[in-house]
Amino acid sequence: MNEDRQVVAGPVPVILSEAMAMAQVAENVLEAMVREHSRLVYRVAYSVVRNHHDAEDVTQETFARVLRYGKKIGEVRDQKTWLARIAWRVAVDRRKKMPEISLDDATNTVSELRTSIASAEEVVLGSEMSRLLEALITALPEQLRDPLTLSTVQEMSPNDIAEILRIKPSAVRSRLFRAREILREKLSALL
Amino acid sequence: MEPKDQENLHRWLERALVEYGNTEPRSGLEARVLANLSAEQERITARQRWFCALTLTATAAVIILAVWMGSDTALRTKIPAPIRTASEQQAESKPRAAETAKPDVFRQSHNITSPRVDRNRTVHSFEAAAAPKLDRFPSSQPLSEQERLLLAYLKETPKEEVMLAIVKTKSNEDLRVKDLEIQSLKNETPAPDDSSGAGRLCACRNGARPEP
Repeated sequence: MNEDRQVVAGPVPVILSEAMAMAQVAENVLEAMVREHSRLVYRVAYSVVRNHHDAEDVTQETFARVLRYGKKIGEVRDQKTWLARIAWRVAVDRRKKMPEISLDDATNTVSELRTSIASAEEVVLGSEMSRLLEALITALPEQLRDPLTLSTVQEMSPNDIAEILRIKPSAVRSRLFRAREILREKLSALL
Repeated sequence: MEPKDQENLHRWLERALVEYGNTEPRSGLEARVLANLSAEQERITARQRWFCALTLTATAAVIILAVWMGSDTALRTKIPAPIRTASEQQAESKPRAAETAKPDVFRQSHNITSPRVDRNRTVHSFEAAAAPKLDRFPSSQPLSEQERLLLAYLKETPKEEVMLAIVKTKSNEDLRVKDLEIQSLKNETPAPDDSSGAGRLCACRNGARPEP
């Protein structure tokens, strides 16, 4: 019976059924990607925008872009890095709309913190320290800031960061080293 | 800063950087993302349907237009321009003659106020362009009334009679030619003392017969 139907059916229904099957496969792949990598995407987004609301928006936008990418999802070699790169680009676009903070502003914030808290140890132990670090990282030059923020995401290795930023892994390592040096200098000078 | 503090700071920085990126999304992120994706998928499908519908409509419109234009052209090529007989042409030429007989001022004003003449001209030229090409050139024209009468006469009368009529007309023509012939001057013998010889010659040249 089924064979008869296949014989009777012309090329158009066959093409349609194939297209529907491909769409179904793409949908399944996308769903699997969401379940596997949504946390990573969120973390990458949060490392850049530093805001839960914006990070979630970036995550949604990232997967929406993947959906628009269509049937080629199956052809992607490294889904993790691919998704992280999309998320990073979307997050950077969103960050561009936010006001930039200069290194001087960050220094002022640290000074204010220091006057309000008695000793350096208290500052280190206090919850305000994260704000201090955030201000300093935000004030870093972009070339150093991007590898540093991506390196704070647990799942990201220097090779992954190099893939996302399209630079060499050695360049990632050197930039990370320089960024940490600057942060250490600033903190030791201020505390 | 002392080395101990430096060491503490270094350790603190490493820990702080780990915490910097260690964040957890609110619960239900996957479900929210999937719900948003299904909504997006529906939106994309709806857009594709609209696009398909628009494409189909545009294609249908183009096909209808092409078919309509094709049928119009085919009609024009199938129906040839009406062949006018001589009597119709004469009948048509009468009102035209009457129109031309009108005063110039009236004609000028008529031309200015109504673009009827130009429109007719364009229509005629269009019809001429649309008319099919015939195998023979010049195309066969309908016979005039005189030609038809002549044909009827030729059919009815026997050949001998026709030949006789032709010979008669030819002989008449010969006679007429003979009438016009001028006699040569050698036959003329003017008197040596007659001074009017020159006058006779002049009269011959003018076609008058010389007096004996």
